[in-house]
Amino acid sequence: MRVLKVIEHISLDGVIQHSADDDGFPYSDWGAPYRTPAGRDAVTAAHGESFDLLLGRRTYDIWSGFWPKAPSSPMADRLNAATKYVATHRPESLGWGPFEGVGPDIVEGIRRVKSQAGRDLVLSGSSTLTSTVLQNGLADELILIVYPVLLGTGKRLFAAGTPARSLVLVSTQATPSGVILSTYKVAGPLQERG
Amino acid sequence: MKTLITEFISLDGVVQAPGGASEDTDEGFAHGGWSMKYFDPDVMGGMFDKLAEQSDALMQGRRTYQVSAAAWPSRSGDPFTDWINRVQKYVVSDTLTEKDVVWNPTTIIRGADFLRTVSELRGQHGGYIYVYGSATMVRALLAADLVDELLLTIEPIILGGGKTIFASNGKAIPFNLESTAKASTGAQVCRYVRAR
Repeated sequence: MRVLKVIEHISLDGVIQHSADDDGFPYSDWGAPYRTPAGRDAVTAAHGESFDLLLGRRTYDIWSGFWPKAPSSPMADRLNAATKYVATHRPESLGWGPFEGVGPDIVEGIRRVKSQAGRDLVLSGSSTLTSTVLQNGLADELILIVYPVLLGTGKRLFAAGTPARSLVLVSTQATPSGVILSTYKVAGPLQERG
Repeated sequence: MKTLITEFISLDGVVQAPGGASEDTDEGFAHGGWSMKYFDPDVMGGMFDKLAEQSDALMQGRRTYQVSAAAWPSRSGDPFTDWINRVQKYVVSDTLTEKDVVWNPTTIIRGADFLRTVSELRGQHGGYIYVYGSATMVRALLAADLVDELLLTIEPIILGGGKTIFASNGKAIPFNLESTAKASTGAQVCRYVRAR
């Protein structure tokens, strides 16, 4: 059984969109001013030594235009080596390997990949897929990299209707630029009140 | 004076009804009181006392004011309680009248005068204008970029919907992280100061 970690770079108001995509989002690469060596090391460590990736199609396409050509670094090497499990209706057009389609039933596909023995699965970016994962209770860990800025627009991590959950704070650290990286384990549904 | 917004907030940005089941059940919110188990007196108690000590006003939305005015006046004997009962209070409301106000001293601010009044107070000398709860009012303050400090107690819970303080107006507002404190309960008290 694999552990599914959701790792997101998120604004104080919950936005995880970082590129303009096709919806006119005006703050592309808004996290850039906050990047520090300490932050990079913390994010790399949070991913772990080796892992596979679970990605939505849009994030996969953005990343496949960047990481294969990126200079070697622990993060680039690990991302390029990871098997990319991609939620897509067009698996024949995938190019950045190694990859596998998740299959037409995304929730079932993720359950199947999770049930295998193997490396941790990291899900990052991919706002649509992440919503699906959270709504179906498939995430085991949530690693939030919180930036000290409100954006007021953009795709958000948590959709209304995400089931209520308790979590446990495992660790937290702040970078010199004010980014807080916190690791949470998903503990379970909330107890009913009353 | 400076505005200081203090909120108990879930990972998904909800601030509704942290303190009690019947505090605010708008839109069928069913998790009232969710924040109580994350309170850590060792980490949080002294912090709120100290900020209150530096504050010369309390500003609230109508609902938070009414919940507070029903609870605080009958209490006494600790620094925060004594401060909140003594301090100058402002409530933003178009419906309350002078006879509704029994928690003194309180001044009613009408909605149309709200942003101007806050701007004027921020131009005066004095300590913080302390705010808690009051989701609707805080959203208006953030939308107007009238927030000087944001003290978020971020709690390890996802609520799946409820009132938030964050506006969706597309205006980016940068803050500096001033300090963080980790509570034994997994809550984190994060103090942000408007970057200018």
